[in-house]
Amino acid sequence: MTTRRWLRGVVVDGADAPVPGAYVVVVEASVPLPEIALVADAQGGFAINLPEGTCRLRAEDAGRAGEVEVTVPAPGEVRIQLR
Amino acid sequence: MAIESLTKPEALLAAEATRAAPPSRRHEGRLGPGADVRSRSAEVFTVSGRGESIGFAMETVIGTDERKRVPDTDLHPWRKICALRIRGPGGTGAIGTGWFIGPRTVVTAGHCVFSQTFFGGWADAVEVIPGQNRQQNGTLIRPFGSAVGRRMSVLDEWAKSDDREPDFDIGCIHLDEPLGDKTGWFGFASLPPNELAGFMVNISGYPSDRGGGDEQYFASNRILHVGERRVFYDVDTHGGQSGAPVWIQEADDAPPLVVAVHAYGIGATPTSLGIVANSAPRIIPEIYDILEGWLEHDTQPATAVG
Repeated sequence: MTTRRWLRGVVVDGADAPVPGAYVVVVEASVPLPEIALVADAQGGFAINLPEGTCRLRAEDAGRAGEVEVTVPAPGEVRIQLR
Repeated sequence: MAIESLTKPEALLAAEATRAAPPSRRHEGRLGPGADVRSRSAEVFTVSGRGESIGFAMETVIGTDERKRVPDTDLHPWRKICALRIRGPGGTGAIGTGWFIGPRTVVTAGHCVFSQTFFGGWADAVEVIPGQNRQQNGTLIRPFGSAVGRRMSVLDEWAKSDDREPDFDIGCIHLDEPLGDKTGWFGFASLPPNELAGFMVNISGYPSDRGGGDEQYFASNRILHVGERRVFYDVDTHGGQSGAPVWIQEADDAPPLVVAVHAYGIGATPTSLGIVANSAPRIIPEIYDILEGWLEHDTQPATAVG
């Protein structure tokens, strides 16, 4: 079985304000992951149970996008800023 | 030292011949009411038959993004394709794509209803919205309404795999309401690899990066490789299109026939294949039987699915 860790994150805009309803997709991970898109909640938050290792997440909303590279397990909350 | 000849037994040859050429099987779809109104975009966009060889490129959107927006999603075949709004335990949200194979049966990717990665197990509920579209004035339209499904099924191999078996990533939503009666449904087929190879495939779904998951986007191209359980193609897709139908048309006037369920970008394609391609688990004979079982189940009063 894969060792997984819940990763919690938040999508924010250029002014650091949360972006509810933004989409989050996994661009790269240590194992193949499918083409589903998570939806950020009312506080811009999301959670994903990823295998340990390095991954890259991408957030999108209304033509803006941002990406972060994360090593799982990650301490604290991941922030993805849209530009 | 005496060296002797060992000849492969005839019985093995016969068994291999049977394995190599499983018969193709086809389950017919239904056009649905008002199907005499033809979709102009279907005539222009969709491709049929087998195609010429093509080159390779580098991303899930491979090279230039060739997806086209579908304007008339209230018409066949687009209306049989559904935007999915998925809700997981603890309020997790996600989007995907599904497609009708019967009045109450919506096929999608397994991970859209059961995923350790996204939901920690089963999703709580999925809202199914056939033919969703956004008008030019920005109004979101649902030409056939929507229905929420809470009963779901996946292939057992997917559920056991800890999200690590792309070959078995197929699932289904069982609706209480016969929403598919308004839209019609897709036919599906189990075709042996040699029959499927070289076909042009069509894929349409609801991506997050264009149209914000509210608009349907279509792309097509030639199949690059047919594996034992998966089909690989150079067709542009993105997150949110998981579960979309991968269909062929055997001739221009032939009905669409779904042969696989889109689920993966280029990261899930084995490097040993030497191609850059997206992929989908195929409807192999065993899965064909399971799809028919899900359909049969949905003709009965609502109960748990075996």
